[in-house]
Amino acid sequence: MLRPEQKQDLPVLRQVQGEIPISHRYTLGVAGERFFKAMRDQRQLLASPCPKCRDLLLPPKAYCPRCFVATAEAWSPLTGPGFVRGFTVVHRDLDELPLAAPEIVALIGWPEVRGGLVHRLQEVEPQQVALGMAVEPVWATQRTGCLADILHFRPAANH
Amino acid sequence: MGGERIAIVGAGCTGLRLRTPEASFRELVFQAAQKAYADAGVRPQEVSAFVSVAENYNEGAAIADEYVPDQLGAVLKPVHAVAGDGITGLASLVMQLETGQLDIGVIEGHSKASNVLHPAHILALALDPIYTRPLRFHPHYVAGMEMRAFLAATGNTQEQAALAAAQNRKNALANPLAAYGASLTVEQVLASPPEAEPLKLGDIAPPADGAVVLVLARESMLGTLKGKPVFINGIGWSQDTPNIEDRELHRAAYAEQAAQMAYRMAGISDAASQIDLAEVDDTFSYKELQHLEALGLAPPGQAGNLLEAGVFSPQGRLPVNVSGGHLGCGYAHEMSSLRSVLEVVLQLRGEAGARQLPGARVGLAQSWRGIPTASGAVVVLGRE
Repeated sequence: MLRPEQKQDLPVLRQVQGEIPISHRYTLGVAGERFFKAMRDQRQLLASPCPKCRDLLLPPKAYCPRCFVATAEAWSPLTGPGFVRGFTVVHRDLDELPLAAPEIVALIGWPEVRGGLVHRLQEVEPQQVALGMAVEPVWATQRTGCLADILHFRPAANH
Repeated sequence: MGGERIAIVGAGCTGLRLRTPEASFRELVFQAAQKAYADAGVRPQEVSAFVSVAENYNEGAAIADEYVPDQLGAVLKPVHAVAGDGITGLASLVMQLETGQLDIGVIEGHSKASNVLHPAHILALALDPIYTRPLRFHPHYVAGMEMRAFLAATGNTQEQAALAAAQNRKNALANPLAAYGASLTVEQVLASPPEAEPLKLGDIAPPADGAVVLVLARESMLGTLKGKPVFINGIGWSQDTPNIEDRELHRAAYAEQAAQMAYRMAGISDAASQIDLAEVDDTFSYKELQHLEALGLAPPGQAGNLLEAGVFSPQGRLPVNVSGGHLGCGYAHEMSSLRSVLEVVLQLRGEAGARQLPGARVGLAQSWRGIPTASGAVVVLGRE
């Protein structure tokens, strides 16, 4: 044990610092590729139908996780607005620093699908958001086939 | 249970602390193991099965379970690393002993949360890399969305969630192992900074360091051991889909399923009347209420009301998180739920000191693997 007066004179020997550099590729898969291609090329959200339970899956999958069967080949584009299934207002970033402006994160569902999309909700004040609120995507002009092809969701016009 | 009964015969814990800069995680585990082996009256040479629970990213190392043997006395012994929470690891050890091929088993869980310098970045790596992670939100958003959905669907209130936090922090004052004992009012919890609305800072179990080691044995071994046995009467675990958008946000379906499995094994038909105390995951305050309902310890929509009525207080009919829970003891990664099990063991043995509950015979401990998962486990423990 060190006496208190010794501690002040000595460098800290208690730890070393390390870093973990990690970069990775994530394969979209057959279903993901088709989903993001339709977003990029047609500004469309596609859902894949299960031939057994008849549910439309979003994000689309090549299989229905509940029925354990391959989904059907004919995918359906979502028509009409989505709705807010869940939401929160986040106040910190990944470094635990306060965000300049708190951001609304929403889980967006569509009446005809099982599942949904998590995305940011903008063009609305947090106090005005409510569960069930109708929302629509705002598409990026330059689209590359990824989640960011949708800039954010906003309250749907005429709803 | 199917074959021979399995008992917890020894327990050791370092106690939880905000920081442990003087001791490595190996030294923490060594301390806990020494206590557990002394408690059970075994030497590590007599142990035939070891289980460890840990996540690589929190350890800051790849294949981190390779670091397990030395500090447990487990070199050149069968070691099984479980990528899951503490009670899921416990289930694995119970199954190993149930084979009848192994007599005495040990499980360890530890936390060096204070060494994890970017916890939110690590948690974000658990989000789907294609569909959710690219948004780069603090992963607490999942808890915020869940909390809102749970409160809206069940009628429980934000004030009642805050009361769960205040009560657990208060309970922790009587637990020398706990890191975050405090006298807090509901108003103080509600006045804490918003994190992911309606979730506030005061609703979140703060991180802590520590280690827990438990020693288990088959019933036929009990005559040769000095440890006071606490029997594992039932254990269950369940995992929901990893896709946040595919779940019912308000529901802890994994806890419902895990409880049914454990209750079936333990012969529990009415949990609320047959369980004497429960250590329930409260990594976030609302989770305690959600889990109580999922476990059948409160009727749907009633957890908050029963909490307000004092049913779950240390003097109530069904004390919950009398240890202080994770909110009061500290969230300690995969070790967290082994600490919950430890509390039930101490209570059933009558060794819980100032917080000892009178006459506790059957106790429950429940785990949740934390956001963004919907996985968890339940164990029912009994004095006989």
